[in-house]
Amino acid sequence: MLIQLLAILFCLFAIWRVVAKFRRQELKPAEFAMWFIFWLAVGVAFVTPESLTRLANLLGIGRGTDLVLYVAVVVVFYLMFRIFVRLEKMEHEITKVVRCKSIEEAKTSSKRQDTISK
Amino acid sequence: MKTTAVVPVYNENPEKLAQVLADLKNYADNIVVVDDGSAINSKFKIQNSKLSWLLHEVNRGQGAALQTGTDFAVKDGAEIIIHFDGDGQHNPEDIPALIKPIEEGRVDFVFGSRYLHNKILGIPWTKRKIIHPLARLVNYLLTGLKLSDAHNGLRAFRATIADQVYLSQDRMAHATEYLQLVKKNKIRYTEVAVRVNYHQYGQGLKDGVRVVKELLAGKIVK
Repeated sequence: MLIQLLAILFCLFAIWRVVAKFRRQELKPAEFAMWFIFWLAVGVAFVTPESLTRLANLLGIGRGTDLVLYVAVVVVFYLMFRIFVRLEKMEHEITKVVRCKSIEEAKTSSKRQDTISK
Repeated sequence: MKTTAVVPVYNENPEKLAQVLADLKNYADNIVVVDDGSAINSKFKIQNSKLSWLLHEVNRGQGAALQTGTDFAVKDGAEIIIHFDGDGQHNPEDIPALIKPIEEGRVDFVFGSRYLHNKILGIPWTKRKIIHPLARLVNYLLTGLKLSDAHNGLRAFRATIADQVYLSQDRMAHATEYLQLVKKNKIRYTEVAVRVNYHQYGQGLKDGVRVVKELLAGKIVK
């Protein structure tokens, strides 16, 4: 089927990018292994859809596509949570920077005024 | 004892702010104004020798502004820190009574309360009967502290406990966070009767929901 051919080509492209990034040392060995296995699994799932269905049945889910959908929803929610936490932390970091700057500036201006009044 | 009033301001009316600060200087040794990224520059209108003016380049919220002012006051040698709104809601005449329990060494933290007067005046009915009882209940459930008032911005504390009441809530939830920190660190506290002038309605139910949301977000990030 055409979709299988396109998916395999895309997986090969993704694996090639992962290997290239690893060679340029842009990926750590653990990250390389994770992404390599991920794209390999995606390729296998497209070539042999029945393997995905078997895995889904093993987990008590009827169809392979349902398994993919459930996993995708969980992953998306988890990523949203990660982004939310990171944003909150960034907000606190911004506050710290703004606070430090305002206190420093106030100190500097009060020193300047002291010097002028002397 | 050296008292420093921390006044967070955000787009306040310059004339009104100047009046608030002029009244306040009779009741505090130092005043720290924290301009939380206002679009209006009020500084040029105000002449006050006791004043330090801090500027947040961008708006970070009232909790963040109060903490900035508190940090500065502690470094500047304050012994008692007072939080005072810049919009004229609070009365400077309440300050002596507010800081008295700290000066006498009885407590380290004093919350202002609108509900300790014999006659409760000026509080809108919806706030008195619906919003404040609900806020008190939520505060009690979240902090375990049972106070007669909720989210009153007029408070005072001993500078030596400033580290124990360090705010992480940058926005509206800071008032509830103070309760949490007082409870958690077993800080000696009391409430003192104060009056609040209502020029504006202030926080409503929607803000209450936002406070709970901010507190939950704070818990998750911790």
